[in-house]
Amino acid sequence: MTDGPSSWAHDLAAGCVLAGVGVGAIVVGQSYGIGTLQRMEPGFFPVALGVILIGIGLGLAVSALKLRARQGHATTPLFDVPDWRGWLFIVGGVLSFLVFSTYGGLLPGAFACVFISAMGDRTTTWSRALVLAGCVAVAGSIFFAYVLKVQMPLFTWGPA
Amino acid sequence: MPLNLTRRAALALPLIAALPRSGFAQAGFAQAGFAQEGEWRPARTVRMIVPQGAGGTTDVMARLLSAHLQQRWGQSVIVDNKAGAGGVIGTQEAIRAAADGYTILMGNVGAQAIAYQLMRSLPYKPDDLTPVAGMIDGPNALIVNSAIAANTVPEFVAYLKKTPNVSFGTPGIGTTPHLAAVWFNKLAGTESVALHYRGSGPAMIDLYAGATQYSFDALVNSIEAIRSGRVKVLGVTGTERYPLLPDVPTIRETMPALSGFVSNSWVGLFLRTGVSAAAIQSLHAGVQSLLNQPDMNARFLALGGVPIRKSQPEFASYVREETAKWTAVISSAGLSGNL
Amino acid sequence: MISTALSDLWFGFGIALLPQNLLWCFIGVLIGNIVGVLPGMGVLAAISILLPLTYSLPPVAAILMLAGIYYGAQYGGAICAILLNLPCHPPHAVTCLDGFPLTQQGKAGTALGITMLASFFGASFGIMEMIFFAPVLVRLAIQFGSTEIFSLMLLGLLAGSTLAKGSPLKGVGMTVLGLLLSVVGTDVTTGVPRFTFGILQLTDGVELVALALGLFGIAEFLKSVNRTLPVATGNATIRLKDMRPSRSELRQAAFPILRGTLVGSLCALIPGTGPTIASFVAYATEKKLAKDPSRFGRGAIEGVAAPEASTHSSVQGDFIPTMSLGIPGDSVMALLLGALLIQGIAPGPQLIKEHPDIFWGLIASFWIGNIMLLVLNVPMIGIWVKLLKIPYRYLYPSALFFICIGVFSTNNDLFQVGETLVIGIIGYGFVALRFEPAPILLGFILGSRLEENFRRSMLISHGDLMIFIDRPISAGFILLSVVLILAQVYFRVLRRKPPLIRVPTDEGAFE
Repeated sequence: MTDGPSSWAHDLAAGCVLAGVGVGAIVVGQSYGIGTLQRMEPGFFPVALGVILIGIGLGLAVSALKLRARQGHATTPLFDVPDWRGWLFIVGGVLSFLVFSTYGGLLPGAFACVFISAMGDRTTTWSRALVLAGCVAVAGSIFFAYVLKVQMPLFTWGPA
Repeated sequence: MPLNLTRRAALALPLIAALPRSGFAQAGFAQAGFAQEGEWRPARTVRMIVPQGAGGTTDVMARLLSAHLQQRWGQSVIVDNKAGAGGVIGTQEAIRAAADGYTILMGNVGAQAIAYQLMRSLPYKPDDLTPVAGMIDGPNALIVNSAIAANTVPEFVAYLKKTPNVSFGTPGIGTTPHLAAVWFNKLAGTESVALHYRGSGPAMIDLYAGATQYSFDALVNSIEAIRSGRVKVLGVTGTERYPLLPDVPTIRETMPALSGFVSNSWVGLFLRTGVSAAAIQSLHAGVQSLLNQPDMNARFLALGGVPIRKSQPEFASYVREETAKWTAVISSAGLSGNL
Repeated sequence: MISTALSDLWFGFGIALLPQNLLWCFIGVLIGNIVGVLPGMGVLAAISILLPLTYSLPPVAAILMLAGIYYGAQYGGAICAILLNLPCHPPHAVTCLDGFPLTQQGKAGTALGITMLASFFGASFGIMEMIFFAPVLVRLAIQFGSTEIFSLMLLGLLAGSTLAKGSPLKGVGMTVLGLLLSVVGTDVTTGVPRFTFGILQLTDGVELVALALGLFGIAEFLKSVNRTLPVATGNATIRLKDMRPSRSELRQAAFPILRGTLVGSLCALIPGTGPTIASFVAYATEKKLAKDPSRFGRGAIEGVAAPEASTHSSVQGDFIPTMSLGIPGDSVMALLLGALLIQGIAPGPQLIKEHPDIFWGLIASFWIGNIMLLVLNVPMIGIWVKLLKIPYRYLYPSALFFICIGVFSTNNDLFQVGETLVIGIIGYGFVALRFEPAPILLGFILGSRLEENFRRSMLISHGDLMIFIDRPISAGFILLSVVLILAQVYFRVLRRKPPLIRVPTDEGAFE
């Protein structure tokens, strides 16, 4: 879905995004002071990049509109609908790693991360995810804690 | 990878140097000197926070001491590197921990003296920490490009006065080499431009080429360049001459205007305020028993400095003096809240 | 001179082959190799974690082991990039571009075979360079001050900006975005925190590892979950024979390997340009020289061979300025330098004289280590390829965990894990808009160097832009940059000349 070819709509949106980031860079960047090319202040570089980004963004948008005039309306769907289940569980997996490794240590963090993100796949069953999480958490934690000596305790109670 | 050799490393690296390779293993790892009867002892694992990455002086000090304390107490002491924001992140961790003596901080001049005036919004103040014991005190060297017609500090000051647009390289804003140069210029009544690099390596290359004219740098980084004649050394910034370079004068002995000029990088042990006096005492005693081992002088010398043998109140007032000194230098140079 | 070098080398082998040193070298390359294959855990993190353990080792063993981690990881990193499209660490980001398409075409074995060959060749060249040319190269290396580095970075940026497949305009846009990201953090020149929004952890800038793994890892998972078809493993039962690249493939790869090696060995000398830049430049060079650049990004063997050779020759060459000047080229080298200093050894011009055992022992161990890696990896290729048979639904959760713990270990800070997640989510947005993520990395790596060195040069020259032309090395790079731009314009005009009526693709932006 996200692998489809780039359509004019993608390019139009891409151009707008780049230009938007450029505007942001200019707005924030100019507050650091701009100076001159010879005596640059901290804002010079980001503002210059912002201007370039706006230029590129406009270029993309214009050529997208030209293409639209030629191609007619989009053949591919404008924007892909993300796979919400996968999203929820992958993001949740990382967040759970943050929470569980802070309050529980490496092993619980690893288990939570693998288990929750594994559930994002529609074909994975509870039991399989549990087994996978168990294996990865035990093997991974032991490896990281004892071989690579990562500075995170295997178990802990409450924030370190 | 981007050059991660930023302020934190720059603050730390200058000090690491040669530990004589024989016997390093035995150094801090044996002869721990057991704790006295009735002394405070931890009942569980102690965490020693290092606000710097592995490999810097602060880290080396922490590893030495942790092994020593572990033997002395019979309790494990874990070193935890929490680098970031020039030591602020690690210090913050130490302050947030419970005031029970189980979290100790291996601090240094950057985060525990310079930062108060240099950083715009620092999440801690001097009162949040209790200085416990000093570890190592290391001087910088004043090195100049070898083409410069000055062989002594007075000649160099004269050179600075008559030459416009002289510039010096630093391993980063707010490092002791940077502030030392700023202060030097202030005392000598001269002016020059600061060029900041990521760490002392790239600064050294521009110094070789004469793009910058001079630099203050930790002896550890510069001693090879000095020995090979790539740069000239005019003085060291300690109170006394550096034993490995006995012919090089201290800067303060060269000119009356510079008589107060001492600028060292130091590392020392801190606890968050509120920890019991017994724990402070015990830690201080532990550090002293490490520093008093017979070969420690030579070993620290090779690491680029000398052991700080001070009582706890002495060390506390040393930290206060250092903080006041750098605060004055930073504010008079208009660098307050620069970071 | 050559004969003394050879006898010194012989002496070095004597040191490196001592059982104890051999063992530590092996441990080093093994850990490196594993760390390299695991997504997330970088070399820098691995070395900084293991560095304290070497405090109690004898110096030769300590440095052999730490160095082994460094180059061992490069072998592992390529495997992950080619098979899983995950740049386990940054130098291999460009290897993904053509390596993964090769895997999809069922040629994973060939790609890995070529990689191993290119790696070994690149590394051997780097080692020889260190043996025979170190003194000359050192003299070159100290010519690279702020001005020269700026000009070189500019050239690198221009050469690399056409790196991505697909729309050139979007590629340039991504590069500029990378440049902008590199601005985040404390400005080295003035100390002003930029784009940090009051977040303390951002004052040290965006973490490169977080950026790479957010874009190529998490964004990719978000895109592919529940959507991937299993990768065609081709002949999943790969025999040693299948890994041996065919004669024509070898011929195709030979010159790219050579060119990549040269690029890498040059990049190694210049402080601040590590293997990552070397690999990007090598890839860009191949693409520029290719008769049919459109093959790149679709499984061109040159696109794997050149950057890998370049990475490895740069990794070995990196040791030259570090060992003979005491000036580390990048942060990994700074750590190794620290390790030596802690052991009581000051790297610098005196090192070879004062500690020949370290210098020559290290060099000899490079070769031994590289041979170990070859022996370790070539038979393993078959097993690595089997990784592809692991269903995606098991692979991505495990990889996610490795990313989390790896990113954590770069700074022992969970903040970076959160940063990776945010970058991944934003990165997904860009991928959905059909942006290629690779140029962001290029811009990010070059950005801060470009800006800082420019500003320093302006301070050095007191605002005179002619400084870039007055210095010969710098002038050379500027000239090359101009030639590059003119060539680009010329070819563009030339291509437009025939009045062909082309359908949509003529805009370039719409491939």
